[in-house]
Order: sequence, then structure tokens, then C-alpha cells
Amino acid sequence: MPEITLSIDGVSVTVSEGALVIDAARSAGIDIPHYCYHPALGNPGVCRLCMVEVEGLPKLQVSCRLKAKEGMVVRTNSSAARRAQSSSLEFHLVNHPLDCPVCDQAGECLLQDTYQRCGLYSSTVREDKRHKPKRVKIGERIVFDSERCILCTRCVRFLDEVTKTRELGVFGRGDREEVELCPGRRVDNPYSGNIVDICPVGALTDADFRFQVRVWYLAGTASVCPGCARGCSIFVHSNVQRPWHAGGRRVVRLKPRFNPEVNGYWICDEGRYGCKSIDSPSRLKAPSLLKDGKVGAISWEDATKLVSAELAELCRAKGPQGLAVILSGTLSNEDLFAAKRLFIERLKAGHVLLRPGPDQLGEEDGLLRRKEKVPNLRGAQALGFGTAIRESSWEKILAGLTSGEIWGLYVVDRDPLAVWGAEAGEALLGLPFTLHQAANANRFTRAARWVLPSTSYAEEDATFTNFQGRTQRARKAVAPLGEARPDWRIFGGLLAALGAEFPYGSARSVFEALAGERSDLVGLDFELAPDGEPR
Amino acid sequence: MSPFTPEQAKALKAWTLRYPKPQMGLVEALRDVQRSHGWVRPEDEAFIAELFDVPLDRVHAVAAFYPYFTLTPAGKHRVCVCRNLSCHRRGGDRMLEHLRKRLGVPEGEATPDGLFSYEAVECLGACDHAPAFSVGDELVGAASEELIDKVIEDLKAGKPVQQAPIVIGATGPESGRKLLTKHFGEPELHRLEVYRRFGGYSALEKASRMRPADITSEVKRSNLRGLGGAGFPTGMKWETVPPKSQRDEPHYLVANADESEPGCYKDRALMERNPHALIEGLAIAARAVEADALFIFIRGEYARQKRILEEAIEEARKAGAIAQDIFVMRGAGAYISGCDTALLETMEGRKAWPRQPPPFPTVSGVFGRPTVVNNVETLMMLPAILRDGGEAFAKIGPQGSGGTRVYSVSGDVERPGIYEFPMGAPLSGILAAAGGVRGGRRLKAILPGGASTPVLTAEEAAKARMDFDGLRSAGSSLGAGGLVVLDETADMVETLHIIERFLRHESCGQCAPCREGSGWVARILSRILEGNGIPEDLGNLSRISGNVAGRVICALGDSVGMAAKAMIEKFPEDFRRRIHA
Repeated sequence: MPEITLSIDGVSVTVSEGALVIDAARSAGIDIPHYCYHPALGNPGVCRLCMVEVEGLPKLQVSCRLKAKEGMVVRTNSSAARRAQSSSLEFHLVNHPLDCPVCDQAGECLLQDTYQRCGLYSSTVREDKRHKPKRVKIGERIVFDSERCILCTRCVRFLDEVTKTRELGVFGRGDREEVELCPGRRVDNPYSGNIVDICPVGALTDADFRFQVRVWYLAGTASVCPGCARGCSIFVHSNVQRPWHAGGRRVVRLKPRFNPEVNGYWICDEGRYGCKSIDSPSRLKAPSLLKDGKVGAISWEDATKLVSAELAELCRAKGPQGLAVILSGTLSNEDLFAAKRLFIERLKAGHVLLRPGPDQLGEEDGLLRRKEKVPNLRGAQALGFGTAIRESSWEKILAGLTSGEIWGLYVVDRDPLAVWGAEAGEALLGLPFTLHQAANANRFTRAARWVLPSTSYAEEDATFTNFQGRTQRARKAVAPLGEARPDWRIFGGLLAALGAEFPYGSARSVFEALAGERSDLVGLDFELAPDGEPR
Repeated sequence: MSPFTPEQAKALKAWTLRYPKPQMGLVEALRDVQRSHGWVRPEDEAFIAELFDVPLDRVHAVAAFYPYFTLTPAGKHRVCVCRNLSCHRRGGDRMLEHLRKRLGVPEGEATPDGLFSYEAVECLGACDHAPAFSVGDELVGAASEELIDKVIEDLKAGKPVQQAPIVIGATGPESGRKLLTKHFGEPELHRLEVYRRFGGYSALEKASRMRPADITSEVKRSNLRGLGGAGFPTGMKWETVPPKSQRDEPHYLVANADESEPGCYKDRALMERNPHALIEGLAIAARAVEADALFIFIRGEYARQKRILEEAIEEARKAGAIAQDIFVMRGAGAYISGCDTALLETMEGRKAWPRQPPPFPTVSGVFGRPTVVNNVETLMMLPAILRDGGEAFAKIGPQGSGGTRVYSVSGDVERPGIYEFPMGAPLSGILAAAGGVRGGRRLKAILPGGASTPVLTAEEAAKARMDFDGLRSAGSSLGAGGLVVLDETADMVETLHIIERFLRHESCGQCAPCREGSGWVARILSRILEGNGIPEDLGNLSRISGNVAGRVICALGDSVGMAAKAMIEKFPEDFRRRIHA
């Protein structure tokens, strides 16, 4: 596309020919107010808010449908354009309930934002507002308030064009029209949460987040979703200022972060609501040891010393081929680097398993979701897991346990009982060494002698390599819960106790060491990783 | 399980095969459903969605958009009374009140025996029969308490409803040129043989020997402008159609017979009396724009006119007068379908949300095909242009507007009816032809182009000349040529309220300013009528309605603003009286 130059509010802007004026303005840092336009959902041009004046054209133009032309002179803030924007906003508010004090969208509402800029500040509406349905649960996750809806049709277009599930429509006519569920339907597709994100007002709210905490108390951390092999870019929204709100939940929601290479504007519901594990009651907070049928707390120092001693002793006495290590694609590149040092290089464990089994495989579709429900399978492969490092299998490990060939089971994150079935629990009871290292407890936790609490993904700096081979950064949004430690640090502690060298004090330094082993990471900056080019 | 009998299902299936694309039969199929069940039930929508292979939400959107469809049970006989301006002036509201008492149910609800329901409607296209009323699809005529009672009793007894008399003989100046209504006195004009006797189809014969571009040139010479209201030069519109040599795909031509502007019913009368002129005009235009599929999109309320047209098409086809078939399609009661880009949506089996050009319909219309949409009267002028030559046609009118124009006159006049005059005729002459103001009263105002065109005061009307440019300079618009005459007893707050209520009712809901603004304006006016007006209302009305005009996709929003602006500026005392009473 040839480039053209136009003037917007006196600023000279160069864009590809045919670009929309609203996008050209945005590229120059000029935000033209709009509701219906969304870059991924087209430009129906129905909210009539983005009106601008164009030299030589008698009528004002909607900038979301206006193609930029060479030499075009556009004014977004002339008095005529401002008047038009103000009056369009006024029309949007005629039947809007103005219930900001009790509306969850307050603070991130485009009606509020636009009002700050071009509101009229003295209402002339004397008529009664139209009453429409409120608090309608239109899906498992979504609550709809029709009175607040401004009929921008973004949600309808998302469901028509992106998920193609078409649960919602604009039904009726004129000012009697409403966004409604199609008869007999509910918004229950795997991407439903996105309609809350794109709703510019408080019409669509998230059943999970509603009334938990005001959005202005939230901090946003750019990160990546660990829910599957795609690794969608996200913002982790954490409630650190009002710990007594949201029932004590620190990570209160995830929002998609635009990334044209990976996820566009969207994330799936599995990923979105996966964040509930971070503050779940199942979180493990301190190391513990099962002794004489009782779980007893133990310090990290003692646990590290005793676990390493037990492992060294059992390996010496029974041979390392009897040690089975079940790792997980949930581990970051840094964690896996340390795990490799510990289990492969130092202990030379006989059985190592990492690839997803039935416990970590799920649904895949053509949109975002990948069937491997772990974020770092490609990272593990790049370190040799499943290639240079031969993997064992669930069957072989179970057989080894039953035959007594395996004396120890070191499990990270996963639940072997979910794969083997609960009957396998018996085989575990007599085992000399069982350890569960995880952020959240599962059935295996109760069967394990040792329990080591690891951090959740929002509690550590890390990198994951997604299915495309892109290495992306997850960032720490909240402090580790209790005494939880990053996995790489736990492995590093054991290595040190075993007398091996592991001189790294931060995820960054681990990453830098790792980059020496993985050619795909050479030249990649730990800080910039999430937004780097695909590799 | 199918919600339909095998016969019904078969008839619905037939709609998928009737038109060039299956979905084009969707609105007609839903009309069948409404008629057979008395409403459109969710299971019917699901059935239709599957039958037409369209998503369910689209079918529901159609059912919830067009007033013809109800989502709750209506009576077996739906009695509709028009409450728009011309009918209001002749007692439409009184008739509604009578029905309310007579049937004893709220509007839209079926009587306990399921036989009747009644509705106030915004225009039936029968302002000459004011207050117009219809039962089912059929216009009955001018309502009176006695006639309503009789019709109800007849229907209860299973007797057929007696229909309104066919429009006979439009008048106009005896000496003036008449192109379309000249032979209206001939009772059998709608027959091919009679039409031929007056020279019918000779123009088409001539056109068939001409190159398409030459037909267009002739039409350009004639200064023919779109008579549906926009006044766009017809020849110029045709020239924007990509020729077949550039785009080798079917081209569509549509006669827009969705005449729905209150005060306008000339197309109804023209199609009823002179259907072959439309058929001939369509065939001529088809040659000029290389159209392969021809349509007449007629408003659903014109049931009789549809039958007459279908018979005439059949006759013309059998006699070999036209080579192509012409598809007749119906809307389902939405005014906005008459807007050309909204009409395309209705034809595609969707709700009528106007499209935003570019691209214009001539480049991308029905299902993306090049589509020419011309008004009925415009097309009917083509035989005269081809027969007598474009220049002769142009000479009939003033500079810039060629030919004659057929006016619908209604409201407070002695003889409502249709009147044909040369373009540029003085408005006073048309009023005189209609017998002047009813009952010897004084003229107060005239809406010259239909109810939503800006009002003219009596003084302005006395000077106005009826052509596109003449009325524009008078601050109004020729529109679709529907003159609504208001005498000195008319209250302009009430008048504006009726107009704005209509526009609110018909706003499609797509653009925010029109959707919200039309309702807001109507509610303010309604409050003033209730005696709760405040001095700020006048300024607010002008400001709010003015903010809708020019800021939306289609012309309906412009009407919201222009109607209010003219009325408030020209009759401020009517508003002040109400507000300070």
C-alpha cells in the first residue's frame, strides 16, 4: 500500500492509503471518541460519536468509515466536530440510567471517559427513561443490564464474527430495540468473557468480578496466560490497595492484552478464569512433612537439607534408576533449566516424564485454544525434554511402582492419581520417597510425604515459550503466598545442598544462563521478551 | 416436530424457490406464518431458520422488526386504523377509541374468542380514504363507527369484508399535459388490450431497437428526476451501473413501490389503474441498465395492487409484450424499507437497517449485485419519454425538472385524490383542483411533499411552485408529492407530535442520534400536549431535533430535524399557547 499524508488537528500524519481516519488519528496520539468501532469488529458507524470535520466536505463525517486521502485536512476538535460529538453523547445518555455509583464499569466506562471530554454538564432530559431488563444472567459468566446498553453492537458482532455462535442479537426497532438473547440460547461459548471486555459501558459485566473491588484500586501487570500452549498476552489485575475487598482475592481478574502475533484482542474463558487458582484455598503455603500419619510444618532450611539427604542416600543405596520425576509444562524456562540440572545432570533420575497426559490435554479450536493445557511445552522441548532427554511414560512409572523397581516419586504440580486412578494411591503409601512440589494441593498432595509450596504464575518473573516458539515474559503481579518459592529456587536449593553449583539469585540470571544453552534465546532480552518478535 | 402441516410446510418451502436467491422469500414466508398462526412463535422462527438456512437470530430479528409480525397472538382478524396526520384530521383517533370500547381489549391483544385484535398504525397508504382502516391485508376504506360495527358483525358471521372502491379518475387542469393519469377514466385501463389501444408498449418496442446507452441519453435529456422523494436525476443514476462488459454478473432492477410516507398514495393509485405503464417502464429501464432480474417491491398493505400487478404481468408475459418475468416482493410494514439501501436488506430477508454508501446500490446492491432502485412513478414516465423524446418531456417542466408529477392530496380538502400537473405548477392550482380547503375554512399550512417534509405556511403555499428546486428555495421539499392540507383548526403542536411520533415509530434503531433523538423529541411534544410544557422546551426541541439531522446514515433522521425546525419557526404561537396555558 502506498503511503499518504494527511493533516489531523494540524498534525501531519503518514499512513497507508485507505487507512481509516480514526486509526490514522490514533497513530498520531489523537483519540477520537467512539463506541461502535472496534478494530477487530469492523465499523458499522452507528454510534455517530467519532464525527470530524473535513475541509471541503459540507457534512461532518464519521471518522471510523472515512478513508484517509492524500492532503486531507481533518479537524477532530473544531467547534462543529465537538458539538457533534457532544450531542451524540447526549443521545446515548437519554435513556441511560446514570447509575455510576452502583455500576461495576465505573472507572473504566467509555461513557464516563467521553463525558469528561465532551459532556454537556447540564442535563436537559426531563422525560422518564425507558425501563428495560436488568441483572439478566445471559450466560454462566455474564450479567446483562439492558438499560445501560448503548446498542453499539460490539458484543453482537463479536459473537457473529469471532466465535460465530450468534447468541445475541439486536431485536426490535427504534428506541424499543434491545440487545437480547436469541430465543432459547445462552452465551455459553468458550470465549464469552470477551464481550465484557469490549462492552464500552456497564451493560455486560463479569459475574465473577462484579462488586468485588472498584477498578481504580487495581494494578495491572503485563503478562502471559499459562492456560495453554498459546500463551495469550494478558494483563493481570491485582487488588493490592484494598486487601479487605474481593474476599481477600489478590488477583481478581485477567484481561486480554492486544498482541497481533498471538491472540489479537481476545483470550478464552478457561484462561481468563484460570486465575482463580492463585488465591484459591487449595494453595500450599509452607513446606510440610508427613510423619507418623501426621502432617507437620517444617522450615525451608530443614526441608531442603532433609530432602536432598534422602535423595542422595536412596540414589546411593537403591540406584537412581528407581527415582521417577514427573515434571510439567507449567514450569517456566527458568524452572526447567534448574530441574534439568537437578534431576538429569546431578541425580540422573531413571524416569522423567513431562509431556501432557490426560491430565493436561483438553479442547482445541481454530481460534485460540490449544489442546496442550500448559504454557511451556516448546520451552521444555528446547531444553531437550522428550528429545535428548528420553521421557518415561505413565504406564512405565506405574509398573515400576507396583513392581517395587521405583523407590521414589518426585512430582511437580501434577496429580498422578488423576491419571492412574485412585487405586494407585495404595502403591504410593509404602514408597520410601514421595514429594509433591506445587502451588495448589491436589489428591497426590495428601499421599506425599514431602510437600513443597511453589509460587503461582502471577507471583514470579518467568519466561514461557509458546507453541509458535515465541518466548514471552510472565511478570510478577503479587508477592508469593506464604512461604511459596519459585520452582527454580527450590531446585536450586536442593542442588546447592547436594553440593552442586547453582549460583543464580534471580529469574533473570537463570534466564541469562539458559540463553547459553538454548540457541533460540540468544539475543533475547529478559525484560522485553513478551513483546519481542516471534522466534 | 414441525410446527406446520405438510401442506403449510410445502407452501413455506416454495418461498425458498420463488426468487433468484432463497433468502429473498424469507419475509413472505414469515408473512404466511403470521397469517396462519396469528403470530410468530419461537418454534416457527427455528423452522424458518432451518428452511432458509439462515441463523436463528436473523429470523428473530426480522420477526421482531417488522410491524406485520407479532411475537404474541394477534386476533384472527387484525383491524388496523391509521392515526397519522391525514387520518387524524378526519377522526382516526376517534375510530380507535370506538374499537377499544367495542372489542374491550387493549391494543394488540386478541379478544377472548381469538377473533379480533386492533392496532393503531402509522399510515396505510390510503389518505384519500381517511380515516383509513384495514382488516388483515385488505384495505376496507374510510372508517366510521357504523362501518366498523358492520365489518365486525360481518366477520363474526363469516361474511367477506366489503372493500374500498377502486380509485377512479384523478383530476387536474383540463388543459394540462397528463402522462400517467390521462386515461384514468377508462375502467379497463389495467387490461393489456386497453393499455395497448392508447399506444402502450410501443415505447418498449422502440427501446428494444436502441442501444442501452442511447436509452440512458434520452432519459438524461428528459431531465427526469427520481419521484420517490430524493429527486436524483434518473439517467445519472443509471450511468453509475457498471456495464456488463465490466461486470459480467446478474444486474438487478427494482421498482420501489414501498410508498409509505404519510400523505402519499399516488403509487398505489398509479399501479392500481395503470399497471402496464409500470411494467413497460421497468422493461425499458431493464434494457438501459442491462438488468437480468426485475422486481417490484410493493408495500404489504397494497394487497389489491399486488394482485392487479401480478395479473398484468401475467397478461403481458403471455402476450409477449415483455420478455422477462417480474418478481413481486412485499415488505412487512416498515416505512424504512422504502429507503433504497434498507429496501435491499428487506429483499435479502433481513431487518431493514439502511446501508451506508459507498458502495452505492448501483455498484453493490442486493447480494452485492449491481442494483438499480427506481420509484414507481419514475419508471412509469419512461414510456412517455421514449415515445415523445426526452426533449419534449423536459419541455413540460421548468429547467432542471422534466415532465409531470402526480400528487396525492389529503387532509383538510374537499376532494382528496390524486392530481397530475406539470412540474413547476403552482401549489395553489393543485389545492384548487382538490376543491380547496374543506368546509370553507381558511388554509393554515401545507406539508407539500408528505408528512415529514418541512411545513409551508398559507402565505408560502400561495407562492410555492411545485418542483424540486422551487420547493427547496421555499425551505421545503417536493418529497414524494404528498400534499397534506391543514386548515385553521389544526394545532401545530399536535401536528408535529403526530409527525415525530411517526418518525420515532419508524426509526430503525441503527444510529444512536435518530433512535434516541426521535423518541426524545416525541416525548417532549407529548408532555407539552399533556399541559406540562415549560418555556425551555421550545429551544430544546429545536436543538435536539437539529442534532439528529445530518448526523445519521439515512434521511429519516433529517426529517426528525427538518419537520420540527420548520414547525417551531413558522408557528411559534401554537407552541407558546400550549406551554403557557
